[in-house]
Amino acid sequence: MPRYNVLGRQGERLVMMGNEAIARGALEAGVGVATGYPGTPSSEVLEALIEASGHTGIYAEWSVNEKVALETALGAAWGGLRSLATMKAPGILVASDPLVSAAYSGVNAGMVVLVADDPGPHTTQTEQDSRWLAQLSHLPVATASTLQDAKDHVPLLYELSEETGLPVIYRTTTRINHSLGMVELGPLRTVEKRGEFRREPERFVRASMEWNRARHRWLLEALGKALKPRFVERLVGSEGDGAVGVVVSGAPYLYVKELAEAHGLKVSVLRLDMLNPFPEEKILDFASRVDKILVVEESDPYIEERVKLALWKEDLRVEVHGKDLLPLVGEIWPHHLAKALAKLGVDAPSLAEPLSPGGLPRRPPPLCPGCPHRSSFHIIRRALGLEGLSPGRVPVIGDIGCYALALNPPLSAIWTEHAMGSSIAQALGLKLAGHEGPVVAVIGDSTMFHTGLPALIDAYNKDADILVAVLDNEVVAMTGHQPTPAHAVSPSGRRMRPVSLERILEAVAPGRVEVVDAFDVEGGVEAVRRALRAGGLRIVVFKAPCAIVARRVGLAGAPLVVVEEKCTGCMACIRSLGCLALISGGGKVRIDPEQCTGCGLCVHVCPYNAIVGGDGA
Amino acid sequence: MRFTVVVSSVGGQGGLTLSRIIARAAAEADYKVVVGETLGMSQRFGSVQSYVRFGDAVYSPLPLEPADLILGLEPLEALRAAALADRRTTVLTSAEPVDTQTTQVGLEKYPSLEWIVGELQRRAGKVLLIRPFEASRRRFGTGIQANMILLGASASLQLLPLSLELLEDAVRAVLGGRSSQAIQALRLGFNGAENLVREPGRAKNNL
Repeated sequence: MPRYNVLGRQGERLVMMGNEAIARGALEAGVGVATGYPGTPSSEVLEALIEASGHTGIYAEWSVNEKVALETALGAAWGGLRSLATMKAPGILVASDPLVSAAYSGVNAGMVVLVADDPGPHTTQTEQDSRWLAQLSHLPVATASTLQDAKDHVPLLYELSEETGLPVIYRTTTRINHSLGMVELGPLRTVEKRGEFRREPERFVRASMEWNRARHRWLLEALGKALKPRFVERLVGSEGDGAVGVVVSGAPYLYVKELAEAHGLKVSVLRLDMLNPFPEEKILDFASRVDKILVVEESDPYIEERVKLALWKEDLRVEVHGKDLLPLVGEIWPHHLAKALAKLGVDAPSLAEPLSPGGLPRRPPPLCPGCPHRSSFHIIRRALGLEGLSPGRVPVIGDIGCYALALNPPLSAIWTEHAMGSSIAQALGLKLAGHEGPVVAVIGDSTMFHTGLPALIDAYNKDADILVAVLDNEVVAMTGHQPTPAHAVSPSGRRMRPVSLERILEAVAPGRVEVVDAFDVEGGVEAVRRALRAGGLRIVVFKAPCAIVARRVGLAGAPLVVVEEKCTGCMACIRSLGCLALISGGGKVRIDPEQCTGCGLCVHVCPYNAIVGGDGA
Repeated sequence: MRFTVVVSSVGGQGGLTLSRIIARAAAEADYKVVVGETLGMSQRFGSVQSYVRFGDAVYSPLPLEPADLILGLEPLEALRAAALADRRTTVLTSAEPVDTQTTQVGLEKYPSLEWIVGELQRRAGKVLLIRPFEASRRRFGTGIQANMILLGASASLQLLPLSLELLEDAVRAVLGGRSSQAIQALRLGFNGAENLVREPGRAKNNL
């Protein structure tokens, strides 16, 4: 049974997730090469294309990081195939160096870079508003305000990319990517070669400053071609009739539309999916028909500022509101919108702000039962203790991945978590600042491949005195178990050449790498102690497959049981590990057989040997 | 008509599958349908909420008004979702608590079921309790079908304006090869609703 539904017949109407709709749009555009790096809320786009790739002519595979994904897509578009690169907001910053240069070179076939921003934020480090890349790169930027448009815009953006000769940034937000709704399918298109790559150094080589100035001029001219009516008329829509005009972009368009239809509001609505170049004529025309404007957009006042500028240039005096009435931080909810409209004199209903009852216990996502990271952190903590170090005083510099969830009690392990691959260089900096005693940098296998390796090279080269703990669970776990470069088969079924992370680590830091089974507590503790005593840059790789993957492929062990008469209810297991397969009740602990994977970590911490295998052993 | 269901659960309980099945059934009933979810923290044991909205003039993935129905797979999460409850709201929730990481290790206290029910009753028009995991384990030896039992019971009590037939078709469409036990569970919830679901007394409940 496929997980995604992107191969339906033309004319079919399906309930689709926004990300499925975008993936379908790519198939309707005849995209030949699709790349990306996993990141919520973008991941399902490429996952769906990978799943569909056996049935279509598309090449769709994960890349090692976003920069490589974008460069691969760029090369494909130079080579004449329509291409797509997908990523979350921080990812486009990783990829922004080649992106900005690509604007000067352009493409031979259409290229779209999908960046999924996360107002809220729900799962992202920041509420980064990637629309500002429009100002930085001068590339065309568009968004989608409905699920149907999330799909329909994709083929249009490929036409726009080919019309201008520029890569296009398609910026969506969580409430489009991860909402579901009815989408009507269009025809699938076969992959076609649309151009040839020829030697044109003035265009493709950025080493001549004269050429760069020429290409800068070319870029600004090319961008203007995006304002042709066939793009503007599809990416900007106008409806309704009222003295208050709402300029809206993204999912809040859906809140405005329902509010207007269900409550009979009299407002003029301008749906703005074209963000760069800015369709000033449409704005001026709209402004001339209303008394005041409310700009409704999530994240920064990107549209608001450009609307104000457009009106100022024409000396058009229309009151413009936006972030003065709507939140700058967090998501916009319908009740915010209703309140803002009421303030402007629209007969909007008063909608209650959803407020959860106060004082409820939080439910932070923990490490899963059987997660090898729990064991790795347990090992590190125990080794530090045995070396006479207080775990609370040894900085554990974290990185992006499931292991960051060890932030929470009872493990309380992680001190920092910033950006992909950041941990090792941050630990190096901390040592340079004169931090006494050990510093531990914790990084996962995929994150190490992604951007950790350059930092590791630098830290070894600088002879940094840090312990690098590589938590290798053999998969990109946090975003839904995408493959790493160590995999031999991709989810599309394609054979890959597996890259050995251990051999890379050994090549960088010869003789300083130890590999342990993440569940071998004694062996792991000894390895960490040896590393701490030896000093200098030392690497301990903790290996064990992600518990969810292990369970899925039948590798999980039989659940353990607590021998009731031996359990004193001391709660040492729960207090030290926080594994949610351990359930306390009636002064004792029992083990939930549906959650336990038999990892055995609790057996190590039980002072009374009360936890045994399911067969009583 | 505009109908909003909030599905509130702990990651791994099948809340997202449940909301997609409702959405599919509503689409088959020719309603406009939209589902708002946030998938990012839906790892096992995280807090997960989704909004299934259907009817005539329905576009927004976020609810405009309070929910018509809150389906809770966990009582504390049902109460968290009561942010979207008012007197028109019916809550049908599991009465089987699942510790959070913070309550498990004693940093925060998991409230008593009695208190949760009382708080739900203060906010919603009607509160109904069910033990879907227990029922699933009794019948199937695993709690995995609790979401389908909850769904079947909600249809049987006419809390959801969707027929059993529509829901069965939606289960088949969404789960494909994995649907036969789910359909049994759906029917178990539907046919057994009277025995499975209880309305607790307003002051004290006797669950």
